Amino acid sequence: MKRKVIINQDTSNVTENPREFSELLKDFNSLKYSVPANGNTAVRYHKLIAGLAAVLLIGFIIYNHNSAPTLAEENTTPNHSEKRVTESNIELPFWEAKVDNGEETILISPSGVVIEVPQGAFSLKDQGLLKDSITLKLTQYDDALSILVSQIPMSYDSAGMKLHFQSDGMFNLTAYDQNNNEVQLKKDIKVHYPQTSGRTNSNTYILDNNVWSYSEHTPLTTYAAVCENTVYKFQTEENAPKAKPILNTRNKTIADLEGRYEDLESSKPLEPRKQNLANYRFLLDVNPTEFPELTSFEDVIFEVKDSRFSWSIYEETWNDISVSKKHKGGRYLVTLKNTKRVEIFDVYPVLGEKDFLDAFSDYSTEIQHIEEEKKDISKRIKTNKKREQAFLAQLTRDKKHLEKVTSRKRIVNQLTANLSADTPYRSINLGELGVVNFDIGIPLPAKGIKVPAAFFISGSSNSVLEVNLINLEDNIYYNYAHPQFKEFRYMRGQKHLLVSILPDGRIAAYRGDLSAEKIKRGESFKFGLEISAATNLDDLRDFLGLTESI
Amino acid sequence: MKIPIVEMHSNQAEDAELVAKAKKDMKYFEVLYRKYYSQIFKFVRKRVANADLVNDITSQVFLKAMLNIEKYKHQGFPFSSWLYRIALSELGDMFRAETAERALKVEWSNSTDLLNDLDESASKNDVNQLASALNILSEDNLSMIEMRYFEKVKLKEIAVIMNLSESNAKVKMHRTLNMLRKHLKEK
Repeated sequence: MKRKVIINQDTSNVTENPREFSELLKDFNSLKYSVPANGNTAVRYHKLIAGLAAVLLIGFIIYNHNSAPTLAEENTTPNHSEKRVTESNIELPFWEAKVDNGEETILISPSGVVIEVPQGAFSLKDQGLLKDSITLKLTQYDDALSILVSQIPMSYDSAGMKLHFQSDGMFNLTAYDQNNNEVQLKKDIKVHYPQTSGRTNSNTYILDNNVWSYSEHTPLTTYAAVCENTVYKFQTEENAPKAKPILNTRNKTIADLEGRYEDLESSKPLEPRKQNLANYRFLLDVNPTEFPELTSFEDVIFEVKDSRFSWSIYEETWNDISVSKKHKGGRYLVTLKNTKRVEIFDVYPVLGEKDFLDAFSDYSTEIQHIEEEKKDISKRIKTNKKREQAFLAQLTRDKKHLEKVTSRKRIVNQLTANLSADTPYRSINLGELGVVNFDIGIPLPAKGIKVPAAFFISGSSNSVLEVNLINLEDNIYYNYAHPQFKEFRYMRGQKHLLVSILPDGRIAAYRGDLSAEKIKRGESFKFGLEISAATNLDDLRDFLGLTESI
Repeated sequence: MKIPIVEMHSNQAEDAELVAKAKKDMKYFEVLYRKYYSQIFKFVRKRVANADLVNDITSQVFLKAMLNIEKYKHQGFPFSSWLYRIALSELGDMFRAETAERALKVEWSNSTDLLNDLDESASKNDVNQLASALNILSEDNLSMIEMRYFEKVKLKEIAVIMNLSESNAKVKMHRTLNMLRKHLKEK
């Protein structure tokens, strides 16, 4: 998540220092007339009048350098009717796949986009279900440059502020029948889109093609862990290795807890008994290692409760006297042996009055501790078993889903797709085909070096009135259109491009040094933009000196 | 500390009148600026680690409110909740653009309710883990937790501030708590 968090820093010593309201009012008056009231309205307006008037007007302004305002001539009055959207000459790569409209299908693009298409998803406008095969076309715009050349709107109005989209990816889905007629969705399709930027906190927007404005869309899922369950559950190989260690760990935890429970049960001390003076009693030495439960009994007195025992047995000489445990319940056996016979009696360890009270108090405390621990362990065993059951139930559901998917759906391109369990996915339901945008709205940079600038076509004096500053690292471009801006903000240490789309669709870009050494604070710059002959993205990247996709 | 939204209810009529006047002449906004600066300042101060930015951001919140006052409609909620909403939006933008650093205060004294709701045994050792778990949340979700548990704002008021229905706010809160639980269990 792109956010630096400082934990537990004390800021309570920061004191209030409000600006004078008169200063705020001054800013308000200056901004009120320089911020578009509604960016989308401007775009819509363009869509209505664009055809003729704007092209003529823009062509005139951009190539007539004599009439183009200079930096000194800029005024702050907005005129959004001049807002334009120019088609660039750059063809963008796309992926197409055939779908049988009578069949439920899962499409997986080579880039890892998963599209779940239900049976009978497509129809022609105002017509019934199509039985033909449909071609689904996916165009992806996963970097700022491809988004820019697509000329799909990437700024919007948020409570009066013009915000620029910082993209986590964008795509356009269209579909055609065999006669190349564009078809519509009759049923929702589900799209799982990989979020390669590493961010998962952006919003999801859908572009309304009729009015060219964005509306926010609630995705089904946005987090990697959740998406693994939705996207990858038909990839059992992915699930199985993960499930096994989790189950093993849970089983071991439960076994450990149950073992501890049994240990506690068996280590319970023997409940002390008070001696009964009416019974026969005798003292015996016992080995504390052999009888740990008797350690609290000092000088163990054993009491006999057996009618066979008599005074004469006391009087008799015994060569060997031994004690052994009989069974649970505190009963022991005393074995008496001499040359004539062997006698065995049930006995109980007992205590004298005073010793009994002390021992019983110790015993009660000990038992209380043991019972508490047993209760705690029981609770933990129950919780762990519940979790284990839930996990097993999830695995069962995943398995059933897998069986359902593999038996009923046609999976296209599964083997060659670039699927990875490490890539976070965002899943959305689409009711209409078109442009879907995963973005964060960002205002124009408020920090960085302020660069007063003018832009010209290199080798001529023709000024360029609209330039886009692409921040390659943040995957965003800022659109600066004349005459609203007087300068742009340049972030030191980050890579930037200055790119303009000319009215004839060609791309012009500044190819000089944009490093911090070159662009210094307080200086005015005139940038000469060179025109590229590129007609595809690769050639354009070469022209811009970008060897890899940004 | 509780955000004193409840205390403002009695002043709603007065605020609505000031807003109506400010829509015609912005000089009337000064009363609202003076009245609410302190509240918004404290709200921002809790969330921003850069001491030098707190006053600037607070002013920016009021500037945006002025720019958008035309869109404000009194719907039975305090004017301050609209200001808090703008503040959250402004802070969210700044954190995303990394023009400000996010402050997060998680202490034993303010975390016990949250830990209890997370079914975590409330031990002081859990506070560090809780801070790390909160750090994974989106800005929206983090703000929601902060308001609910650290600032003791009622869910109904949070819903107003975050422009959600009360039921949506409950669902969002439930999901956020689940997310935290999951993260804490994995630790």
